[in-house]
Amino acid sequence: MTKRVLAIVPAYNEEDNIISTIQDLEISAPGVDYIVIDDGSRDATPEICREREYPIASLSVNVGLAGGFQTGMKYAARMGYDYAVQFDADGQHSAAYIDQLVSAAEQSGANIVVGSRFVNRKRPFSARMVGSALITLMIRLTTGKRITDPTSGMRLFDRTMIPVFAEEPDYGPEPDTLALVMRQGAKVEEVQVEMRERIAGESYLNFTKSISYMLRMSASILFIQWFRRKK
Amino acid sequence: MTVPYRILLALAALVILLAMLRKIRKSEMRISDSLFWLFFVITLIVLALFPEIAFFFSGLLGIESPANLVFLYVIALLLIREFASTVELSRLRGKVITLAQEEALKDVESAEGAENPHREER
Repeated sequence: MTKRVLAIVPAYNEEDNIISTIQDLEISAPGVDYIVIDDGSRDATPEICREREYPIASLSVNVGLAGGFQTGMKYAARMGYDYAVQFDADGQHSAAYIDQLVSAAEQSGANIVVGSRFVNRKRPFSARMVGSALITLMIRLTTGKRITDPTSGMRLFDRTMIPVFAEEPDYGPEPDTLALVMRQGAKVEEVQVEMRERIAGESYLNFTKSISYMLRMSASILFIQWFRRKK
Repeated sequence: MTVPYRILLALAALVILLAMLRKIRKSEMRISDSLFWLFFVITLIVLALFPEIAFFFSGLLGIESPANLVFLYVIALLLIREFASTVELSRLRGKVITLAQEEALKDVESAEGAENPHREER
């Protein structure tokens, strides 16, 4: 029996990238269903999707990446998908790797498979990568496991993870949640993938946001996680 | 706790009370949310009328001036309020997100139902 896989494509003002992202999914991952989660975009993203009849869930207000991603997880849970994969709308992810993530999950029985840039490759040196390395270290300290690319946005979740991420608050698609579920016994694997630079538009991470992101991740992984209830 | 200081306390309490009642009349504050401010107003007036209370507690805690005790009381009360507001804000944030998500998903489901009205129920 083939497994049913859903690609969740959170999109906030991605009118320049959404078409190429969906074309990539349709061409390179034909067996994978997808749903665009329009997070209250103020540009033409939802209109483009409706015009081209892409499956879309349109949030009437902007709820942020975590809330948008969770919408997709709710959809996956209700439609009974076996796997759900987080797939960025900005053109960074390649749909061709989804198959490899799914087979890695099937073979290893992993609950989460991360598409990592650094399994076989060295992490390049930049401010962003120092942050990434720090998060790897913090996850290592608290779970004993090594995640080479914790900030990778390309993650596959299996049937046991989907309902948890669909219903629990504060289970955002972030490294701290990864650390939390690992400590709760979830098995996380990594698969080497290539990622592209953004095709158009601007990354949402500027300097102040990066600093507050790192502070949030540090506080969450090193301290707050120990007090959270088990799910 | 000089007389002018006590008058100031009572006046402040009165201003808060009037502001609160006005908001309730205009339906801009719920009665359940106003109870904290009512409590705040009553305690300020009690402190203005009976400064002995402030003297008693400042003696107990070793605070030199009873006026400082009044500061401490107000700051503590506002901190508690601020904490409760943060909790409430988090809850509301959660509710708004859930509402937006459910609304978005309902639209998807009805769109799918329209495309294929004979789709099997899961």
